[in-house]
Amino acid sequence: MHEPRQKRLIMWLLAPSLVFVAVMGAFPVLSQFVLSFTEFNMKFADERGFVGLSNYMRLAGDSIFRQDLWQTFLFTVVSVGLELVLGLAVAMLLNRVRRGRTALNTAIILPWALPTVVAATMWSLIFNDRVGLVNSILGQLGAIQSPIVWLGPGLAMITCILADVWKTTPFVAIILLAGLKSVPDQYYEAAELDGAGRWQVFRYVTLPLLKPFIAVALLFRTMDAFRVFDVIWVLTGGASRTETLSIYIYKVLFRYSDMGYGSAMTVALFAIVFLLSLVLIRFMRISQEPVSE
Amino acid sequence: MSLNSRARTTGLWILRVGVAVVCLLPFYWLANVSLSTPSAVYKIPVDYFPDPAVTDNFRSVFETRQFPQNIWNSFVVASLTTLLTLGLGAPAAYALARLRVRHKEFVMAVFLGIAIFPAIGMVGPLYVAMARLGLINSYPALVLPYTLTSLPLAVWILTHYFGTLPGSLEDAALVDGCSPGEAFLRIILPVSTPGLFTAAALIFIFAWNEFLFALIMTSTPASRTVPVALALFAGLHELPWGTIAAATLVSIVPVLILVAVFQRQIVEGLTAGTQK
Amino acid sequence: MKRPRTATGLGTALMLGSLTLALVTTSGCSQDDSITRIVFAAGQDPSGATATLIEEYNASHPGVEVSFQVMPANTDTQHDAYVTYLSARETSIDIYSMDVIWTAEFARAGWIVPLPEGFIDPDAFLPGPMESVTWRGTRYAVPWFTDAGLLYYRTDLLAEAGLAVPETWDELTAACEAVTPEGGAGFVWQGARYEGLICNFLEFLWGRGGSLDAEHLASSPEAATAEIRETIVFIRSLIETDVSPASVLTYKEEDSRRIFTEGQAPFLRNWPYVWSFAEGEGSKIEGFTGIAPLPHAEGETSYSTIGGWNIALSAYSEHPDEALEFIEFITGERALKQRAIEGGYLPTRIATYADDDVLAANPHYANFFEVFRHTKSRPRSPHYPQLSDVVQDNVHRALSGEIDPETAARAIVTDLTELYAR
Repeated sequence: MHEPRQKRLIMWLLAPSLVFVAVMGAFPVLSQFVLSFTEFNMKFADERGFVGLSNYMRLAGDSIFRQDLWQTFLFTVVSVGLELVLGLAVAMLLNRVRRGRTALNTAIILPWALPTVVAATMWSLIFNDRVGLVNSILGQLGAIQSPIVWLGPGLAMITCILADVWKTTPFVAIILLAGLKSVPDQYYEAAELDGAGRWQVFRYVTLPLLKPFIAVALLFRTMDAFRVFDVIWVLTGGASRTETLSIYIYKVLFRYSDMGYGSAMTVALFAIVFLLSLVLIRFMRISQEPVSE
Repeated sequence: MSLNSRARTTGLWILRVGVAVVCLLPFYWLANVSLSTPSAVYKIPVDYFPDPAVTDNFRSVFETRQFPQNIWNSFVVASLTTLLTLGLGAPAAYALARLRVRHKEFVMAVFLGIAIFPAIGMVGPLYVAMARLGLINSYPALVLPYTLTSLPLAVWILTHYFGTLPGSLEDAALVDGCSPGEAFLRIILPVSTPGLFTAAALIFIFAWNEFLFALIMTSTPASRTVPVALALFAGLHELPWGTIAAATLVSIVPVLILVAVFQRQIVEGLTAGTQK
Repeated sequence: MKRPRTATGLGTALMLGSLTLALVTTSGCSQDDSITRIVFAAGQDPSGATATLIEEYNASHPGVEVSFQVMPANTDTQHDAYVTYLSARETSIDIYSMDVIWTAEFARAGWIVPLPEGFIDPDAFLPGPMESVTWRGTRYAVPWFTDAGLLYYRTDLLAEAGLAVPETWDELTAACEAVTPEGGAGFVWQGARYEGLICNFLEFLWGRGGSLDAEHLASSPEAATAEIRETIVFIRSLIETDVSPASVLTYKEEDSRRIFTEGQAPFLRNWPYVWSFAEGEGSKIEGFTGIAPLPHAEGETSYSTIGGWNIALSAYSEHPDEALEFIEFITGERALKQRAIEGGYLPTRIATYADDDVLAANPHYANFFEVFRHTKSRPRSPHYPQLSDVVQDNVHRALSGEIDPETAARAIVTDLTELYAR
């Protein structure tokens, strides 16, 4: 291999995106880091100043932060878990379809295409205790006596998870479907020739080849779920134990205009998610060796 | 086909239809609401089908506002974002997947870091930057931040996708006398259409649906995008469900067309390509 | 080498073509520098009255061009955007519409400027809105339109049962027992965890003689805690005895409104806007809507929470004089009258309530006026958003049974005292 030539090629391939990220991202990201060490409220110009770690100390003692962290964690685990399982099921259901392919694939992608805010507003109407479709159907089927308050204390988190799963399972399904399509037919043929049963084919052929795609889906969905905002904001505003870290950060930054504390929280959230991702990556052992020498 | 097989196929199809129904449920409700009179939306018990069905909502969407312009804006922003992201991300992903990159983990980590960084924190500083550059109300004000946020996902997906391609592809090209760069452009890219389209779909839809940046970076009705325009239908306390539903359905149409036209590429792929 | 398939190729080519077109066509506007441009940012006005007024102003003021930067009507969305703009010292927006609860916050931040001496005649405006534009003795905005909590009731149901309009809570609960329809609810209000909850809660609190004012909390914290606790306990009792449904804790304005206009509840606490729905076409209760002040506890007086919006001048405006001129116009008698007739925006000027045309279009305004004389503001503080969250959190959780009323009351008093002191 021509080493200097390849080095130059690598540079040309990587440079544009890295430069872009550096230019666009540096200022916002760095300013957040810097602000996190200051007392900086947009409204109180006279009280600004460098305060070292005190924002982080405050964060450590903030019971709302702890509670939101737990709620965010709960939401993420259940949501992503459901999405992976359902996404895989949907991807497999759609893999071998010939007739009706366009219709099915389009139907699957549609939930993802709907703006989150609109989808959530629709769900709040559908899950409404008096005029909602769900209670209406359940009532007519005789399954319930009095209306279920889906967005009230107790059930709110479940409803939020359902709305999120509806919207983002397509994302997982698409990625996994692309993965399924990349499995060459001859692998399946070979397995069948060897007399492997359906489950064995799935376990020993499909799953391993799908691993990198599952990994990408898992990684990005976890990162996104941990930072969930729109769905919960529209459905409950964070009430009834559904408030997540993003909602709290939003409040501190835009409502209280407390840039110092808000930046510290942003940095903290970033750190938590980053660590989580590293753990996931390690766990899935994603790093792939380059294919060509 | 044996009986067992037939039962299985039917069962699978029932499941498939079930999935489609679940996916389309809110759309059915949107359609129902968009064709209903304002008072019908809140009837107790609910009307499963609009009775009477009216088209007033659709008319008001097209008459009163700049909604068609907003749809166009969303389309342009989403398309430009997709092109820019892929243009920057695909080469990077190729290098990371197929070539020996030193500090590969570091580069992947940088991209990951950008993806993780909460966008909420970036709105303020980015607004200041865009305002200084005089870019408010222009397409770049949205395209650039969206690209920044989409780049990591694109790079990760494409890195994995390129990684699954057989190593023999480049070798064949190199034997023919192509430079590695040419091999990328002429052999790898065309074969990677499924991966590219998958990434494109995800980027496009993300840009299409984004609200907060769109709200802050645009101030005139003519420059708003769809999510913000939808938010503008609401009154102080009232939510004109009918109009919002009608507007939503109208704005879905371009996305629907794109999805339907490109869904084969997004989902299917050129299976032959992987077997060369 | 593979050629792109026809459909994909065509599709892609079309997209690229249209995008090139989009990039090439510039949205350049020719700037005529002799005209002063003023930008007025305010929430959406679906009636079009505001837009018409602005056109009128522009026509009669050559040399000035006012443009209406329409924002989503939602108050939080506007707050987000305005805070971002003002923090960036945006000069392109001269005039901001402001929710009544933002005055202290924006004034303290230096984002809006005090009105010139004598710019408005305070006696011409309703006292509630005047209070809401004042911070530490200085006036920072002009009241534009107002809102206040009302008790809506069913005239037919009460007449049938031979009951008078309830004035005390005891009377209301008794009435509920008598006239609530089968499977319906008694008294619905807004109990979801959002800003509206504070409006409702304060009305309950004030009606029992309590208050969240800084002076009150500072001088008698124990008494204040007891008042808050008792109010929470009282509201809980409404839910426990089924006077209000448990789901009221998820209701915002529209949720509660529709239950009333569908005839499923005889009593509703809500804002004036409900009137046009209740008496409009499609309403199941047309002709049977009554309005009254909210109930109070025995021996106390009832107060309604003030809502509404004011208009303020940006500290970063480059044309303050012209902007102030426009503000004078848009808050003048004529403009308020137009907005009242066409858009149903309640005027803040007392004289407008006596105007024949306004009353002809909205005869029920006479009833509203009575309520508007007994209104109070939510706590005024530069830290209002945090204050609001503290109250919302604690009240909602106590009402949901997550924490007990005593804990909630103590937390409110402690946290609010601390916020007031900052």
